[in-house]
Amino acid sequence: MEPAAPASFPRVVISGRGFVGGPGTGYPALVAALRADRSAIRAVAGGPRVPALGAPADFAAEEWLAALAAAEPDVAARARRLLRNVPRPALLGAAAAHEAAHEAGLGPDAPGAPGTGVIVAGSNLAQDWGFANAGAVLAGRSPNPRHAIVYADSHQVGAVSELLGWRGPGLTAGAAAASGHAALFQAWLWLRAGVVERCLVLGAATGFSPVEAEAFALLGAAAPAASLAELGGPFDRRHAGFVAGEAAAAVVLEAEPAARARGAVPRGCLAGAALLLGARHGPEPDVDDEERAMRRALAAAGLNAGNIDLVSAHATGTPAGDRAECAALRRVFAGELGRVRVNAPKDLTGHTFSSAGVVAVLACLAQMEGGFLHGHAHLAEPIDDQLRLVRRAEPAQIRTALVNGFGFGGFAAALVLTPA
Amino acid sequence: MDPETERIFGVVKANVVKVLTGLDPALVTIERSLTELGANSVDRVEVVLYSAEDLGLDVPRAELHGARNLADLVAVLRRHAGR
Repeated sequence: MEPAAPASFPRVVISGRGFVGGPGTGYPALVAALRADRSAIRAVAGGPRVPALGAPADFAAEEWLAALAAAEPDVAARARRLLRNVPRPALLGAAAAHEAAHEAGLGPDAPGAPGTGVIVAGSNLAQDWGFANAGAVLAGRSPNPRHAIVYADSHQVGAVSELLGWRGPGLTAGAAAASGHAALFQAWLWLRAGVVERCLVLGAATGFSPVEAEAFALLGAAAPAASLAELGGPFDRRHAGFVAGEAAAAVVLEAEPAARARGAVPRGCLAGAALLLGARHGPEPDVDDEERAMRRALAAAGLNAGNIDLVSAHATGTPAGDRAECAALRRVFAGELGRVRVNAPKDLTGHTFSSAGVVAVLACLAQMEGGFLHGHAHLAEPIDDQLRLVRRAEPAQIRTALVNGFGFGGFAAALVLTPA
Repeated sequence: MDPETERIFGVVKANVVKVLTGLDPALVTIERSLTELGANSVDRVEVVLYSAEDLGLDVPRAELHGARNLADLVAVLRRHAGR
């Protein structure tokens, strides 16, 4: 059954955007990187069994706090206190959330701001923090005194709520690499159901410890490439796994009438969303599930494949995952394959896990607003010559986008973006 | 304040200022309590733990629970420092 949206549901628009990641600090830094096909993937300190490539963020917390202090001294003082001695993902998340709230005009005193909801996308966000504390305890020392508070991912929900002075509903939403999609799906439901008028979705940065790095390498999911020259990106014949990226990404979603009533500027519309399970818990991708998720998101938006201009693919660079997504796209787009454009933002940002879906939504909004398509940095020979992949950035008028997101555990999700 | 108490209070005060970001150091006097200064329960644990670490002491947590103000905390730390 494909539920149709009753006319009484409000449209869900996006009024604020924020980003901190490998491409830089601030949403404009992401846009600039996408326009130039500039990949944040670079050599990082690896190990004998751990990948030597990554896309970490060069986030300077002190610079961010100093800039914030000049503009909003009270918020900066609160941030300084809130963000002392916390896992790094919370720092990046606060900066991205604040940027999105600021663009949306939702400062602490803005009418309607206190009821804003907060959904943090992701689980197990600070594995590196836990790893360090485990080391301390094993060595006979005390854990970090804040551990009992900040080890929980929900700490970020409270931190954003306190930073921005918001008192609406809040929670975390986890679905592995589809967590961003899960959080956006949940916010979309809240807004359509009238539970909130506005909700921030924060795709949290994921801080892997050496344990996760080795475990992904052991599964063959992480790219073993030792140098950039050897790296095959998503959809490239040399693809051999993902490259981990670090990014926090945020959007403010609003019920359109509420957004317009307060004079907010909608940047795009989240027209449809779907999140499905596959009756299997493992990492294997499933073409049927991916097809179902795409079709369901399109139906929820009241659109079909012929209405979509761009697919922002999940495409992480694992051979099985890339191949399955190509097969699912062939089914959904069939006769439209020669028209619809396809690109994979993870080639430029790395695979940012918890935040990946929100990063992809930001990438699509940038392309829709900026009149361009981003290309790839590590795509020499595509695995599928039927897909109309964007090789290098080019000018294009994009009105609609389908954003895929899949996660270990059998999660298949898709979002549909349309003009505001 | 004798020199040893002053030394230990100096360590505690430095940690209070570090943990309670933005606090005016002049407000940190020995008769004040951490709660009065704006510390929450986690902040209090941080101040105690870091002060003990800086002094090279391992203080059983039970001994610190009765501390009503910074003077009590300094007294407990001083007792251990003298051992």
